[in-house]
Amino acid sequence: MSNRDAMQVEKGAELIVGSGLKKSYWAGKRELPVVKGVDISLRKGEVLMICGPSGVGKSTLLHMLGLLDPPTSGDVVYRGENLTSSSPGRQAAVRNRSIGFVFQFYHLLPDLDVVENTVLPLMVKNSVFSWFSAKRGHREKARRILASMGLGERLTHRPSQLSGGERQRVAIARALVSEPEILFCDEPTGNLDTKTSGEILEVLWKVKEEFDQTFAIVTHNINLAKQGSRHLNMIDGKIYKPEEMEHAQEKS
Amino acid sequence: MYKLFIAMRYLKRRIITYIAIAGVSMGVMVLVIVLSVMGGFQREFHEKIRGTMADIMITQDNFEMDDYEELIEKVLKVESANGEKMVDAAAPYIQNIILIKGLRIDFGFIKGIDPLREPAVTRLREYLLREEETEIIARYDTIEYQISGREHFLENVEAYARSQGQSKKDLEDNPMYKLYKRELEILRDDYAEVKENYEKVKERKPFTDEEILMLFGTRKTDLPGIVVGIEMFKHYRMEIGGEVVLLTAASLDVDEASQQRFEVLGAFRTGMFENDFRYAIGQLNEIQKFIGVGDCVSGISVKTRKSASGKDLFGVDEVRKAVENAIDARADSGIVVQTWQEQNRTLLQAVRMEKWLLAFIIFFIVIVAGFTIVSILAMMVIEKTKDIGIIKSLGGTTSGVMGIFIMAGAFIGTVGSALGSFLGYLFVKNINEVAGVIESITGYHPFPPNVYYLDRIPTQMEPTEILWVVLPTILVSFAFALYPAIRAARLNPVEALRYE
Repeated sequence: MSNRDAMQVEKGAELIVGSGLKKSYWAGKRELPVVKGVDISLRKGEVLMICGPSGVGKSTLLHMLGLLDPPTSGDVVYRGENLTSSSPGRQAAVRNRSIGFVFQFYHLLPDLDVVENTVLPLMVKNSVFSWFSAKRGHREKARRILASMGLGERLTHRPSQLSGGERQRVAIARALVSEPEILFCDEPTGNLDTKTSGEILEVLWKVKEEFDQTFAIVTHNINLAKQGSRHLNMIDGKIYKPEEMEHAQEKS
Repeated sequence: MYKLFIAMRYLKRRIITYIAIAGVSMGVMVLVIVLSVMGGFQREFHEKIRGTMADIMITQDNFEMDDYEELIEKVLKVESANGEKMVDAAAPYIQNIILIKGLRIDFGFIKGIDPLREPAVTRLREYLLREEETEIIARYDTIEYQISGREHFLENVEAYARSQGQSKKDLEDNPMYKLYKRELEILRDDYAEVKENYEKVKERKPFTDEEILMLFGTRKTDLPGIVVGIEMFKHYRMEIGGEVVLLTAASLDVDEASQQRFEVLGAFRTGMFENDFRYAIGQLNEIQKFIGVGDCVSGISVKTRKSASGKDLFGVDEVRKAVENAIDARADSGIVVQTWQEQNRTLLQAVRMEKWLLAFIIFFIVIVAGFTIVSILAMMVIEKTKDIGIIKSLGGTTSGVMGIFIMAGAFIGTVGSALGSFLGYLFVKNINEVAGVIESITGYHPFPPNVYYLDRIPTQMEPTEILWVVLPTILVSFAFALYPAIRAARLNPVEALRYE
């Protein structure tokens, strides 16, 4: 049974809720607030776009929602469970099973080939013993996903032997292999030319259609942002709905 | 699962990994070799001490033991709790320090034994040499000397002749040169035969009881007789049937010191230099008279009960206690009962200590190899900061990330230990061949047999000792991997994920 079906949540119900999220970095004794109090929720089946220029805290917000970076204050609640104060182990388990990440710079492991990179989340999930009994099935699954993305000929290549678009497709395959409930994409096309970006987005929309995948995508590209089912703007560490934008711009 | 997998991937294809493994295995190899060779020496040493001593010795100082026959009777009757005999044999002996008059005076020990009873308690019959065997050994030891001496001499003469512009023909006409050359040829012809004979002597048959009695009982003169160690025999240029003068004293009273001519009856070889150089053996009654005491002895040698195959049926300490009880040995009686180990405790301990002390020092090689592990892994942590972030984003925990680096360290330690043990094993198995190769290349024997009084380098490999090398090595690599692993855990790798 896949994670997507594990606990049926009604379409449109809130999956992840971030409330009062703040994140500051410290430069010596000076506090540098990056995210300045954000309330945000992600609903089952939607494609949430978070749009804004670079340096406004989009990635930091995504990392906090994805339990990668602990917030300075505020809570992240996943399916009713407040995970902010959970143990690192519990957070890691949720990251492993329910969340997939796609980064701007692909972030593949250079020492592993395409299939190995793709099965990595399943390897993290399994102990030595359960891995060996299920190894064949896992690798088969990874090959299937890679083939469906047109990477069937590239399975034993290393990331350094792939083009940018191919690398990003491997990264998407890796994010999908554990069938996560939510896919977080941080500028998924930010490093690619227009043609390749189009191909990557096609892959993402295909995933959306096939699995009714829930997405949260961070981008600075307003045209991409408009293709989501919902979009929010982020300016200077705060979130605004599109209708609030004029007001926000006046203020800033 | 991923920890081991990724650790292996990080190590693979990095030359420095193999250098670190080579470092660890070098340390382990040297440790295995040293422990095996030291163990071999220890065993030889044990064997030799064991061979020259009885299982248990009952001693009393100052020649006060005059009731020894009664004691022997009691000792032979010693039984275990369930009525089994615990003692096979017992024999009296007397021992005193002597001076040997030769070209120089040196000290030694005289031991008076009962030729009828002594063979049952010590390995005397294996050590005694027949007349021709004595000659073969003495000849073997001198012939090598003679050959190398003449070779040197001839080389020098030839070099001198060349420097004087003499032709080879001139030299060959020189009668002295011809004589020496001829001698060398004869010696070389003899050498093969002498060596072959010598090898045969090593396999000689032990003396029978009759032979022992004949040896101690047959005289050419009416002097008391002694059988001397082979090294003493050679050193004082003794001859069988010849005479030697010994001095001894029963007490510190110098006026009572006695001097006596002895007939050399034969020789023995225990294989332990000190014994073969210092000891002379005679008949109990003759030695008692020489020392100037009545019918008393220094002690009684006891052999504990053995099975038909020569295995101990009782623990030697157990028998010692039973003997103590049987003869009522108390502190105030001055009678001391000791096992052979107790008599040589400090010596045996020293050898064992030496071995482990050496191992401890050599273990520092492994520790130095551990430093390479630290530097490799510390570098790896810095290089792989982004990978750590990625693994965390995929659900890896901090302890999981630490695990990658600890496993990398443990892998180097484990593979290094395995390889080192194997190489050490190969080296030890072929150590004498290796020594031979070294000798043929450099002309220098790394293990001169005449220095160590052994023909081959002795080795003894104990699986448990190898374990005592391997386990600490793996532990050290674990420990050294810990620091880089903790550093990896303390990183904030999410930062690295933002950038390319």
